[in-house]
Amino acid sequence: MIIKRFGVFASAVAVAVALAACGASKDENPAIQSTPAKGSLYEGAEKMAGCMRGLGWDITVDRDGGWRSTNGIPVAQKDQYEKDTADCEAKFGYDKPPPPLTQQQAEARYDALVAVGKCVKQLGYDIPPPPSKQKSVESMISSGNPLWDPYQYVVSGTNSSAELDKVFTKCPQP
Amino acid sequence: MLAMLGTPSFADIKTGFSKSCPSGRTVVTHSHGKGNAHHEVTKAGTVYPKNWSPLDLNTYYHQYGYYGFQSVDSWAVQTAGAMDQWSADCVS
Repeated sequence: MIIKRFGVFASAVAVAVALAACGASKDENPAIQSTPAKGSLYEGAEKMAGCMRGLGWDITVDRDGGWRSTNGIPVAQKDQYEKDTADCEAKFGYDKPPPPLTQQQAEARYDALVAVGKCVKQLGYDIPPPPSKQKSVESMISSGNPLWDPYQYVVSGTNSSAELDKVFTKCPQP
Repeated sequence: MLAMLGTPSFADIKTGFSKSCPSGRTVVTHSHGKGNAHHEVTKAGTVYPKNWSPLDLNTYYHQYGYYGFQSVDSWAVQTAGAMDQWSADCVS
């Protein structure tokens, strides 16, 4: 624990040194920090963050549903971080491979994605129409791929992480 | 707009991939698929990991890791599920 806490401090120092050495601006943060949105990704992130914090790591949950080491970690602690991550994933069952979708699950997923598409379109993005429900559901059952994802069209048209953050907040991933 | 740095093979991603961005840009890693995702960049002896741990591993997600560095020593994208897109880009 002491080592990890020192690691966080050392990490912050390393970042400061690295940024100073590069002449970087204070806007150069390791990742975008924001308030998390609600949703299954967010809930999973909160569980993992709690477990990792219990093991001594400084963790931040982001609005995009991801979680991360707040200030980065020294490379020397990477193996321990990954072991603790794997242990926490196993604790919550997140280490299991995704099972195939059932017809009912795939149909529900399609409906949720279409709803997201409408939400994203209302924000002013040009979203092409989704594939037919039958095609998308068949693809999801066979490979997991719904063949259409409204966020894809947001990302391809923006260079702003803040803009993407806003979209994920107003139209959370289902 | 996103400028592609490279879309390596899955084997490349699992072992890491070294790239840098031109001055004034930042690095963004991206994966798209279902299951857990792990992204990271390494710079000056510090690694910046970011994970996604869905309650429902079957849900199809976009995962984006934005790193505000103009260059990094290496970056990597890994997943425990099925990803059909992965990349690292420079953002203007």
